[in-house]
Amino acid sequence: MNTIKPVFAESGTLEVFLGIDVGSVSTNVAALDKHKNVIAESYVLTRGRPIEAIQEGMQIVKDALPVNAKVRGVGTTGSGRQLAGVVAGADIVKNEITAHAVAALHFVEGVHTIIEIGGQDSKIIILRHGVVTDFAMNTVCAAGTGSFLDRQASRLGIRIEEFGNLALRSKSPVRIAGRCAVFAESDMIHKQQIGHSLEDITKGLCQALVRNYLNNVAKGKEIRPPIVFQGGVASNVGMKQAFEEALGHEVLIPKYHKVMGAIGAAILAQDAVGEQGKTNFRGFDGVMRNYKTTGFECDGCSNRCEIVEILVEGNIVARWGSRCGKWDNVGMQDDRDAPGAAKSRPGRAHAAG
Amino acid sequence: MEAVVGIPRGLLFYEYYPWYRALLEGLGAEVVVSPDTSKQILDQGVQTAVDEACLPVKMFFGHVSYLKDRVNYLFIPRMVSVCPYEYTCPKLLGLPDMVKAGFTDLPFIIDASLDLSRRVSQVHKFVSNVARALGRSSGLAEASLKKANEVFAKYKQMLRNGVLLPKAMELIDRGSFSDGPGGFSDDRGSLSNGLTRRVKEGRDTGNLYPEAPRRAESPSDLRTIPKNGEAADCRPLRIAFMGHNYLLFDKQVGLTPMRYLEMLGAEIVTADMVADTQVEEGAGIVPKAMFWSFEKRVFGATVHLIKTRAVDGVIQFVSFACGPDSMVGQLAESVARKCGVPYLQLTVDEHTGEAGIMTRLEAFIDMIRWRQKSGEIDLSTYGVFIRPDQGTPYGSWDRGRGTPEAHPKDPLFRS
Ligand code: SF4
Ligand code: SF4
Repeated sequence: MNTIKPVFAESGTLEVFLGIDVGSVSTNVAALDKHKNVIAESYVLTRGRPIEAIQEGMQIVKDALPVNAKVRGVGTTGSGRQLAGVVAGADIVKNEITAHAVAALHFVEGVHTIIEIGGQDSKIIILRHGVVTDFAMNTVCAAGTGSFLDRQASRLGIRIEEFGNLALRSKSPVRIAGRCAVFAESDMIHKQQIGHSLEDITKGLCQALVRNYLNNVAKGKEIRPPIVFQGGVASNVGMKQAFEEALGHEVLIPKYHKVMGAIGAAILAQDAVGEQGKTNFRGFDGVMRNYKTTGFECDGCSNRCEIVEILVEGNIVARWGSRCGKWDNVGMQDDRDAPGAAKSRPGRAHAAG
Repeated sequence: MEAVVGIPRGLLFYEYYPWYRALLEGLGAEVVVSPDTSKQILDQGVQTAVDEACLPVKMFFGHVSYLKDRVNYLFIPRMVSVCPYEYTCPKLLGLPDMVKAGFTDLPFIIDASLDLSRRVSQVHKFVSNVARALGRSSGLAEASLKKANEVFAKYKQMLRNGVLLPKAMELIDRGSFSDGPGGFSDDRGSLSNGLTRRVKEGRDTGNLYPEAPRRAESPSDLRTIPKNGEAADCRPLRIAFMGHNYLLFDKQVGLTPMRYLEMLGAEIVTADMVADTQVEEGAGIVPKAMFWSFEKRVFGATVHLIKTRAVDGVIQFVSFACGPDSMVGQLAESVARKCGVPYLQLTVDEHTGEAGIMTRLEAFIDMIRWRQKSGEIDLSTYGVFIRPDQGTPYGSWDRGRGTPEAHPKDPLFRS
C-alpha cells in the first residue's frame, strides 16, 4: 500500500488518468498525469472480493491525489477488467498483455522482452520495434508463478521479503527439482533435511522458478535484451539475479513493477479519451456506491450459461455471460453507458474474464 | 426389434457423421446421436475415462455414458486407417477397447475395423462387418455404402465451399445442400454469414492474396491499438482456426472462442476449406511423409494458408496430452515464425478456463492489428515469393530446393 507524495500542479487543475488492474491475487490502481508520470498508486489484495478491492484501492488513490486533481479518463485491465469497467465507468477495457506491454514501453523505450510474474500467473511478451509480436501466458501451473515462492517461503518459515536477500548470500545453490510445485516442495524438504543452508535453498528455489518459467512460459521465444522484469515477484532480488544468470543479460526492473498493468491501462485510457474527449468515469463517489454481483444459470438451452449481474443499490447495471444475447438488455435499469458492458457484443464476451 | 444405433458425438463423428449415418440407415437402423457436449457430459467423461487421456477422448466417454442406456447398439468403429499409407492416432485405434474397458454395462458395440492403409477396397469388408453385426446381408451393405459415399461427397463439397461444419451437418441431415458460404445456425442465430466467401473465391482461382493493410505514420504509436469495439471499422482479419474438428466444433471447447473471434472482427478459416491438393503440397514441406491423416490435413492446410498469406494469423487449438498435436503444433509454429505470421497456440484440457482463452484471443487480435497498423508486418510484400511465375509457392526445409524464408525486410529475421 505504498502511496506517493502528491505532486501539486503549478496552477489550475491537474489532469489525471486512472488505471485499474484487477487480478485474482491483487488489485492495483495507478494515477498518471497527462505526461504519464505516476502520481499515486495502490496495491491491495483481492481476496476473492474484487469490488471491495477496487473500492479500497480507489480510496487510497483518491486520498493521495491533490485536491485540484480531476480524473479525465479510466482504463481497466486484468481478469476482472470487465467488472472494474462497470464499477468505475471505464473508457477502455483491455487485456493484460496489451496493458503490460504499453506500460513497459513507456518506461523502457525499445524493450524487446517483458517477463511478468505475478501471484497467480506469468507471461512473456516479445516486442520488436515497439510493437508486441508474440506472447504467452501461464495461468495453470503454479510452479511458474509467485505463489510457488510464497508457499516455499512459508514452508521454510521465512518472510517473502527476506527471501531475495537470503538468496543473494548463497555460495553454492542447491538444485531443486522444480518441474512441478508439489515435487519441488518435497525435494526442498529433503534438501533441508540433509543440511543445506537456507541461503542455498532459497537461491535454488529462485533458480527452479526461473527454469520453470523459461521452459514453460517462455518456451521457444527469443529472449533479447533489453529485458524488463515486472509483476509482484520482481521485488525479489534473488529472482532478478537468477534471471540474469540464466539469460546472460541485465534484467531491468521498473520502479513501479508491481502496478505496471494499471499504469498501462491508464496510458491506454488517456489515449482513448484523447485531448478533448469526455470520460465515462463515475466519479469516486460513484465507485463507492453499493455494488453487488449476483448470478444465475440460464436454462434456456443446453448451453446453461452462467449469467452474472451487477447491481447498484438494487438496480441491474450490467449483465453478461449469455452466449446468445438473450439477457443483455432485459430489465436493465441503468442510465449509464457502461463501457464494455453488455451492450456491445465484443464487450459481452470479455465478460468471461 | 428395430435396431437403435447410437453414435457418440465426439472424435471422428466430426469427420464422418454423414457417412456413418447414411450407412447405418441404409442398413435399416434407427440412428441416435448424443446431444452437443454439455457440462454434465464433460463431467461424466472426465470421471469415467482414464486420467491420462486427451480431452476429446474424455468427452467421447461422456457421450458414451449418455447413450449407453438409450440404445441397443453403439457405433464405435475402429478407424485404423482412412487413407493408404496413413494411420489415425493410436488413441483412435484403441478406442473401442478403451470404451469396453471403461464401462461394465454397455450395449452391443459395433467395432468393425476400417483399415485402408494397404487397400482402399477394404472398405467393403468394413461395411459387410457392420451389416453382419446388425444381422443384415452384404448385398444391403453394398447398396448402403454406395448411398453413404454419395452423401459424403456432397457433404465434403459443402465444406470446401466454405460452409462451416455444424451448418453442413445440419443441411445434410435435412437432405439439403448449399454451395455456401454459410454460417453457424443454431440457437445463437446465424453468424459468419458470407465471411468465408473470400477464401472460397481464393481457392477457386488459386489466388489468396490479401490486400495491403493500412499503415500508420509512426511505429509503436499507441493510437494503433484498437479501442473497445473498434474492430468493426477495421478491415476484418482472416484467422486460420486450426485443430481437430472434434475440438474446434465442440460446444464446450472451440465454438465459443470461434464466435468470440468473430465478434472481435475476424473471419474464420478452417482446414476443411483448403483443398486436398493444397493440403498435400503444404504437408510436403517436411522431408518425411506424414502418416497421421488428420494431423496432416491440419498441418498441410496451415502451411498452405501461411505460405499463400491467405490469413493474418494462425490460432492452433491443441489438446493437452495429445501426442500428434504436440508434434504438429511445433512444426506449424516454426513455419509461422519463419514466415513472420502471427501464431498462437491454445492448449485446452478440462480445467481450461474460458477467461484465459478470451484474454489470449483478445491480445492476439490486438497484436495483429497493432503490428499491421504500425507497418511492422506488411502482408502485401510477402506476396513476392508466391507469385505463380516464380514457381511453387512452397519452400522446403531442404535448402537445395528453395527456402521458405521470410521477406528480408521482416524485422523478426534480422539478426
Ligand atoms: S443465455 Fe442463451 S445461450 Fe445461454 S443458456 Fe440461456 S438461452 Fe442458451
Ligand atoms: S489425435 Fe490427440 S486429441 Fe485426437 S484422439 Fe489422438 S491424442 Fe486425442
